[in-house]
Amino acid sequence: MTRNGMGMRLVHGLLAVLAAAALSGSAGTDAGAATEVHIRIAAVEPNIQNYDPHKGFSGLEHRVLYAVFDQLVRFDARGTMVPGLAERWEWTDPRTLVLTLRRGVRFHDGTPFNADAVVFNFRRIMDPRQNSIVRGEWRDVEAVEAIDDSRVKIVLRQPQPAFIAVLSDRSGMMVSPTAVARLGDEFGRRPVGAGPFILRQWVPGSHVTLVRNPAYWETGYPKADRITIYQFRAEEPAVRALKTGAVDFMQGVPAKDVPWVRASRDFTFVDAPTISVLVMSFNLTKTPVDDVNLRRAIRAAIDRRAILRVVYGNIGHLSPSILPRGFWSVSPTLVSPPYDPARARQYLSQSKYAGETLSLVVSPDDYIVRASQLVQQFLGDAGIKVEITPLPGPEQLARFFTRGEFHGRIGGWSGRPDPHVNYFAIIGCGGSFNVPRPRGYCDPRVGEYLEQGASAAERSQRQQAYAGLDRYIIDQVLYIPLVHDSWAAAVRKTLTGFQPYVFGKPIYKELGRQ
Amino acid sequence: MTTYLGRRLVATLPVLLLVTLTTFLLVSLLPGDVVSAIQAATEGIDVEVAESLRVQFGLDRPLLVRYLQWLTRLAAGDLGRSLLGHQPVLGAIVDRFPVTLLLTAGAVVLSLAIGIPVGLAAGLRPNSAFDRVLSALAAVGVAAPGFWLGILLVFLFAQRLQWLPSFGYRSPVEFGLGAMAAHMLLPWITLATPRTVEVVRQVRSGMAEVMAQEYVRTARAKGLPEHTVVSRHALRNVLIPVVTVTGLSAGHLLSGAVIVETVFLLPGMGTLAVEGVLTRDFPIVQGIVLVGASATILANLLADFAYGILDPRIRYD
Repeated sequence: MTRNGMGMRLVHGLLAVLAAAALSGSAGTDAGAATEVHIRIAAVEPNIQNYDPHKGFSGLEHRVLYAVFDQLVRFDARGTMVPGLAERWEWTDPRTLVLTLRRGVRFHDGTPFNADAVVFNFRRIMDPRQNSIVRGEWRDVEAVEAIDDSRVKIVLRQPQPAFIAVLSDRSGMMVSPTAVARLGDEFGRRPVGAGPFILRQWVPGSHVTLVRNPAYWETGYPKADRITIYQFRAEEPAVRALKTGAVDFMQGVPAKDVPWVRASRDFTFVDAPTISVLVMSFNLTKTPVDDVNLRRAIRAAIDRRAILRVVYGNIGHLSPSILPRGFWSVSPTLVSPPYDPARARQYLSQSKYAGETLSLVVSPDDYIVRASQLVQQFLGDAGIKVEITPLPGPEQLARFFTRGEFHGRIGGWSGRPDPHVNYFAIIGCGGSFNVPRPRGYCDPRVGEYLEQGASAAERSQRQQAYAGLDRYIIDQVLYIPLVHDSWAAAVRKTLTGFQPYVFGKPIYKELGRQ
Repeated sequence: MTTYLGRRLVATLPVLLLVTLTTFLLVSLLPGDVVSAIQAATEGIDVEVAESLRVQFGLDRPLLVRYLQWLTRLAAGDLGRSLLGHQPVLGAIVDRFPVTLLLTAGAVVLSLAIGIPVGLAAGLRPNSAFDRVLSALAAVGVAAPGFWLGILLVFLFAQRLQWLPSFGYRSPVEFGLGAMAAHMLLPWITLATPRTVEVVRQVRSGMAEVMAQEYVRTARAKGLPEHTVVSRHALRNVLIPVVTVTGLSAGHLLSGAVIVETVFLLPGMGTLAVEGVLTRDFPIVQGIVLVGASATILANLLADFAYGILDPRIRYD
């Protein structure tokens, strides 16, 4: 047998194998138990690195974090704080918070959930060697200790009524001490919590599989037995998964695919507002944008409706506040001045603008760049020259946030459930978004309103404070909220329990099937 | 033969050193680092924590020191841990490599399985109608961007006709060969198309040249049937440039095929590499570059051996 003869046979043989494989392959879905409630989700999120709540860093991790870990306290749909793993909490004095923990709860590995476990979690966050992402939130905590098996005491250095909100997010997500001790650095890849779902499988770059926690404390939850989250890196393949019927839910459907979802017999389109917003912020210390009249001119020159229509295909929401309309802290009577090119010219003539080019840094996201170009056009029409520079996150950090190199920024703010955090970050003295760091623009009146809002006990008092703050922000044009993101969710009609919370993150334990 | 092998392997060491050092320098030239990636994603963390993270990741040390540290660990067989995910780099790569390997193998096999016979047919009938149609198709095939082709295929076969799944990887061990192939078929076709065209061209032009050679005339004169002339005498020589082209392709593909991985949601090395670069996760990037470079070198080595098999005049010692 010559070598060449063998060569051709090899080729034929391979062809045969390929054909056989292709023909015998199933084009369909994976087998699953017939009665099992399995919900498939298409998520668009770049490769998540780790699901350790205290060490991960992307807001996109939360979908899974909420499912695997339970928080000590949570926000309900109305933005009210309700019990989670902590049944009760009270300030025994202005600096001391006592949490009463839920009894009879266990972590997924059987470890009992008790005061020792909670103290372990808190100490882990505060330990400098752990380099927890949320350590900064615990800066003013003097001590934590277990009072007894189900009560934990947190002592702060000074009164901080807003501290409790911290326990609704990463800081309040409880990890199993046994698992951490056993897995060490690996914990982020094999997380163990006390939440409604257990992380069964995680193939980075492909999907996450969550299965029901049979011992979950909240009766009736989770509704589903299994949830598979396909983690796409781009929108296009995620939408296609929707169209081929391979998934049941997708958040953030691009505007061009919305008509398909609306017309589909299998899906409902949900267009509710979220706290995630595109915002135009300024380096308020930099001339000439330090002039309020110029900022008023800028705002009057921008037609937000046009941006919503042209860039977002009308899938989005406008609000006068950094938080969307309908959010509990946003006054229903609040309005921001409308698009008015004539007034823009008036303000401009009153300002110190002398024809220089304003520099805006923008995030390199498709929608954001297009929105920025539209803004540039509007401002140009009003006589204000603008130059746009798209820069990715790390560079924005270095050049805008730290060095204050640009006059302003157009970018996203993902939003926080408690109003205080939103305002503080952007215009609070020392806020992380207040430019240039570390202190940024410090306005005493802003500080007063923030103090009022944070320390008020009653919701109505807080509403008053934030209404005042919003009006002040509008008057001074400290920033301009442009468009609030919509859920833009495609929900299979047979899916039950989905609620478009304004926080913008789905709560998987509530999802079930008819 | 073994001494030749030995020499070749030894020669790869400086290449790998150069490649990894260059990568290290290039990534460090990019503005920002892994901590600023974290800060950007969290919309601001405590400055103290950020600085502390930098020290933990060793980012405060000079570049060369960090590179040498990486090298020293490598010599001990340790590729380090991802800065962001803390998982061992070797583990992360081992998890992803089978997918990339399968993608590469399928694409290469497909390109040869289709390219060689088609190229032969065209080469044996130069300037026929068949040949001309093929040339036109080839021009399209090589010009079509990978993502465009991939999206077109998936739209047609997965969305419209629903013959095949539109995304996902099914490991053959867990789900069987059939499911794996069904999920990989469209990615394979997408990756194989430009390579198939290349093979067809090489074989076609090679055939035209070879069939005009004297030894072919001699073989015919001996009374051998045409198909023996082609398969036993002509093909072997034509395959040499095909081997070259395939070796290069394989090396390229073994480093990861990002676009196909993104379109079809395949957990391969390409997306791991891109994520690593975007987040400046040094250990991951270094590890992948090392593996990719090694795979490329190995592919070329195999190609060299294939030459030896195809052409007995080529001997290594």
